[in-house]
Amino acid sequence: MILERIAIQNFRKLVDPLIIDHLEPGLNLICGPNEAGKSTIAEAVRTAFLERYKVSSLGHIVPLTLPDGQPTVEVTFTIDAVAHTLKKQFVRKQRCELRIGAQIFGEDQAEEKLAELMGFSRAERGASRPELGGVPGLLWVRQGHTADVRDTGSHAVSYIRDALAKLAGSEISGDEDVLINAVRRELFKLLTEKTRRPTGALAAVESELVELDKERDDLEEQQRQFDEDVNRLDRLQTEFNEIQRTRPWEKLQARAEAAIKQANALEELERLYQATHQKLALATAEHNGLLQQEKHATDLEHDIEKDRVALSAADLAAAQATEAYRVASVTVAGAQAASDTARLALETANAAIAVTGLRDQLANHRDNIARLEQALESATKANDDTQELNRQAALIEIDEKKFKRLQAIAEKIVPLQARRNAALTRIEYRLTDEISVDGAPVRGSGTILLDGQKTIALPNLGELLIVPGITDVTELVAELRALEVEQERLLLELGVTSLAEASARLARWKELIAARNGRAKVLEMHAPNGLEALRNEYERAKGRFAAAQTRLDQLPDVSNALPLDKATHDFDETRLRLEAAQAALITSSGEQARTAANARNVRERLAANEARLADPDFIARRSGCRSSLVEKSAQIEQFAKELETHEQQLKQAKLDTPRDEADRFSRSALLLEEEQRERGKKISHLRIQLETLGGTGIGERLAQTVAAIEQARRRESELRRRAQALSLLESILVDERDQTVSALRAPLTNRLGHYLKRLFPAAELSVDENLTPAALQRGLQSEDLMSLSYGTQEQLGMLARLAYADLLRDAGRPTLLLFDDALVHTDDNRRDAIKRALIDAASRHQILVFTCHPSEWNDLGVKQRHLDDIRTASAQ
Amino acid sequence: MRFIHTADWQIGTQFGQFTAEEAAHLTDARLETVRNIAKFAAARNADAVLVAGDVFDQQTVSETVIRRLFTALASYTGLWFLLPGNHDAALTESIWTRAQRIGCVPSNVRLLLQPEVIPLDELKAALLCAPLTQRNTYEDTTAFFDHAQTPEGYLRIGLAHGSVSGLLQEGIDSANPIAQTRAETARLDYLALGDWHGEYQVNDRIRYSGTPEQDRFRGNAPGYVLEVDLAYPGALPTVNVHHIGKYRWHSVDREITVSSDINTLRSELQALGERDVLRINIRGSMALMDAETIGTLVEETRARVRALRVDTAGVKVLPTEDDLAALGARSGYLANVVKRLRDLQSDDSQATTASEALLLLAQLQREAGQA
Repeated sequence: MILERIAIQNFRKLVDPLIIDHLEPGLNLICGPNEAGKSTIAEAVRTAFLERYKVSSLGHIVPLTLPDGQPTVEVTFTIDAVAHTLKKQFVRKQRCELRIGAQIFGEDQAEEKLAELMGFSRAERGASRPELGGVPGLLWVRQGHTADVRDTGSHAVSYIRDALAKLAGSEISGDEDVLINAVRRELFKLLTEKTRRPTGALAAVESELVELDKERDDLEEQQRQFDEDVNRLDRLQTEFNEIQRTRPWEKLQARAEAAIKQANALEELERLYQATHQKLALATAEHNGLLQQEKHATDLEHDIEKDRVALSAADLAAAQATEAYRVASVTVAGAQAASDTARLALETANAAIAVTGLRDQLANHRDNIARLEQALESATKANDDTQELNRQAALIEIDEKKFKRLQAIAEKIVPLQARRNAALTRIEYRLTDEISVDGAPVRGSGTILLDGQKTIALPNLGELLIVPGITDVTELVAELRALEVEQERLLLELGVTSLAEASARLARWKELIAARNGRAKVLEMHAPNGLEALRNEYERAKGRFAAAQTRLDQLPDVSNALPLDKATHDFDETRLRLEAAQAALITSSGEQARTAANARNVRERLAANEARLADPDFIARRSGCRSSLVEKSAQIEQFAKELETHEQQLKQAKLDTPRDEADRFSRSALLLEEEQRERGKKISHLRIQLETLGGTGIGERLAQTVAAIEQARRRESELRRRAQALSLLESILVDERDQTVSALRAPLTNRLGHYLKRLFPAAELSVDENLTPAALQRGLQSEDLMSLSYGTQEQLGMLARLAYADLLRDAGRPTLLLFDDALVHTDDNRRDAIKRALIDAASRHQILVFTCHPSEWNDLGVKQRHLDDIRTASAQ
Repeated sequence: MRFIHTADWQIGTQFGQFTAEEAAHLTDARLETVRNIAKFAAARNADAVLVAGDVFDQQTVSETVIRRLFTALASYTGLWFLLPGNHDAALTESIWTRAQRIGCVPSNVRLLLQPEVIPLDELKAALLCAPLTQRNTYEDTTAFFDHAQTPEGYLRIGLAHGSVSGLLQEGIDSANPIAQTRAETARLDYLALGDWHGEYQVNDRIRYSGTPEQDRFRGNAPGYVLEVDLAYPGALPTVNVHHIGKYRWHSVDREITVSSDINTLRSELQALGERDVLRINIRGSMALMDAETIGTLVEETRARVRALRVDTAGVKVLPTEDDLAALGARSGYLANVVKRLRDLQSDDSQATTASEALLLLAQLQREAGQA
């Protein structure tokens, strides 16, 4: 397809008619500054080919400056040397006309023809969309969209593939994706898309099968149980009927009754035995009683006989005891008299010894009293002396410390006075008249020691004040004065006038103290515990003397007293005799009483027994008893015999234990009957159970379930087969499609390489399944298209379009390449390479390049057409 | 005396090999046929109807089914004698005791629950009944016929359920055996048997009536009842074999080798209608178009007949040039796909899947083309 002329009016910026004619079949370059209307031209061409003339949404193409303008585009072009003219009016007075050679098509028919020519579909209504743009959409690049090669490519993939398929010699158009999608739609109704697990109807029938299988298992189990129970019921019923017929418990009952009869007989026998046994026991007891009675009577006779002998012996003993008692009484009286005499003699002897002792004591007491009287006197005297000496000493007592200080001062003062007197200025006076010195009258002659300032008053003459000079004498005088003052004070305190007096008094005090100490010693000798204690002792001695005297006065006369030893001996002997006699008396008295009582007892008992034996009743009873004894003995013998017989019989009968047998048989009979009743109950129970269960129609439900399983299984296998078939179909289709596509890709890759080598000599551009550039391979590095710079993307996009155009042309499709302000992001080197590619492509395709940088495109060997020039030309 | 001899009604049978809807019709048909037997007996003025066992398919069917069966007998008011067979044996607790319990057994219906001789004084005949009282036995239940006493001058008619010995392969120890000589040894005028589902004459006096309603594809002469006339004791019975079944079961097994085989098959199938139950098994290699034609034929037939089972697993699809043209797959990538699927059919493990895949391809491609 070669554009020859484009006429545009009232289209966006282009209000005035604009005619571009004489377009070259190869490269055309149209320059103009921004906003001049270059893009409007490109859009007008695009609109004329792509948009339906009737589209109502094209309001924006009406020029803003001329709202009622009529947008019109007329394009003249040739295809295979046949002239075509397409004229479209948009928005208002919508028209479309297409002339092909001499043929003229109008309106919708023209649109259909156009689409057929260009090989694209268009939106039924509304503006065209990129995916419907087809070949023109792919090759016509709008300003700033050069790099959108990927999107555009994908939209037009079927066109490319169509073209490639034609190149590959295939006759069918590529509807394979439609088919694959249809297969997949069907497949994914049965299997999930990702994991290919059952879904939809297949999953439903599978889960239905699982449930049905479970239901069948349940029902089979129920059925099995039911059948078993029916068999059990049958067995039980047969057993029941058989037992009911034979009634085995009745036999046992009969045996039980027989055993009971036997048991009753045994009991009767036992009762008889017991009775006999009792009778025997009774007779034996009676016999024993009688024997006892007879023995009592015999014993009584024996007792009487014995007592008669005993009585004479007892009488004799009593008489002997009485005599012995009388003799003992006489002996006691004699011993009593002797004892009394001896006691008196002993008392007198004792008193004589006491008198002698008391007399000795009295003598001692008297001596002691005399000694104490003397000591008391001496002690009293010494005591008085001591007190007197103490009183005297106290009067003259001197403080010994002060006395010693006084002595020391006196020793110091003497030498000091001597030194003073020698050193002091002396005033020797010899007076005629009286003067006063320091107020004291002085007369005559004498000497005044100048020991200090002295005022000497001279009568009628005034006063002389004599002041001694400062010398060490002054000090001496002061020291001496201090000592003298102290001496004075001590003398005063001691109450003496001089040291000599003080010495005399101290000596006298020491003498007195020594005298007192001597007297105190004398006192201590006489009264070591004090004077008062001595006095008390003396009083006690006098008391003891008086007491002894009193006792002596009370004692009897002891002139006839025997010696004490003799008296004591006599007394002891007589006392022993008396005691022995008294003991013998007590013994004989007891013996006498005992023998007397014994003789009385024996006599009384004998009398009573003799009376009983002679009683007529006693004699009669004894005779009866003797005859009864004979009778009982005979009875006992008979009973014993009977008992032995019964015992034999019992022993025999007891071997059979008929009572136990009876119990056993009747219990067994009851058990059998009970068992049969239980069996009956079990039968009823089982029957009811079976009736209930049978009523639920297990078998029918089981059969239905089995049938349902068979049906479901069939459906499952059908669906599964369908799913398998679809899977197989899908995998083969995809496999073949991919192989075909990759085969088709080869020419495209080849064409891409053709252009690419100008830009990237050693690079390869790979193509994806949608036949759009995917990655640039440079050396070992593969870069995704999107990761490249915008400029590079734009350049590759442009090259891709050149390659597509080559393929489409080879496939017999019309091509037109239109670049609006492309390559603005491209450096000079790359631009040169692209230019060479463009020039290469221009030998096969018509190319329209719009640019606002004419200087960059002035080396193509092509005349640049300036929009201004075109405008001017158009206006003429 | 005239009586109807029938057996093996198998009421309650389920048919899992068909769809639920088809199966329901077949189950119902058995009751319908019983109603028709009643009508037939009434129309033929029969003295009695003898049912030789397996009235019910199993012991525990629902109460409704029991009631329906006894209701279905209503058209014939004469005597019915129902004999328990192996499927409905007279166990201690059985379908018969249930029927008695729910009180749905009409007074003219006699249940033969124990071995006995039943004199029919008005007809001067005696029925010797040998019901099965357990599911299976290896003793001949008819043995007591030999010594069973009947009044002088009475017909002796035996009724039993089991397998006549010696007719199947020797050595098979089949359950419920019946001696082939029973009619002679027991001096029977006629022995009415049940168990075999096909109508079969053992000898002059021993016969199987077969099931009156066919219930399986493998069936030798099912669908009949026997109308038996006995003139006097010792006379040979006159038997009228009467077809009464509702559905006929067909099994069609066909290998398609050339396209004309399909036309033959079509005309054969077109003869079948709503009283037919059909099983088709188609094998062979055929053109895609032919395979699709067969598919259509099968679906048409399914719409016409009562029930249908189809097995086309043995079909191999070999697309022709015409097929490929119709698919648009003479060359290019679809052609490769078709070729691969065709080749896969020679692999037995994938043959069925591949042929189905081919058919699906054709169908989907056609639909895609239409869309």
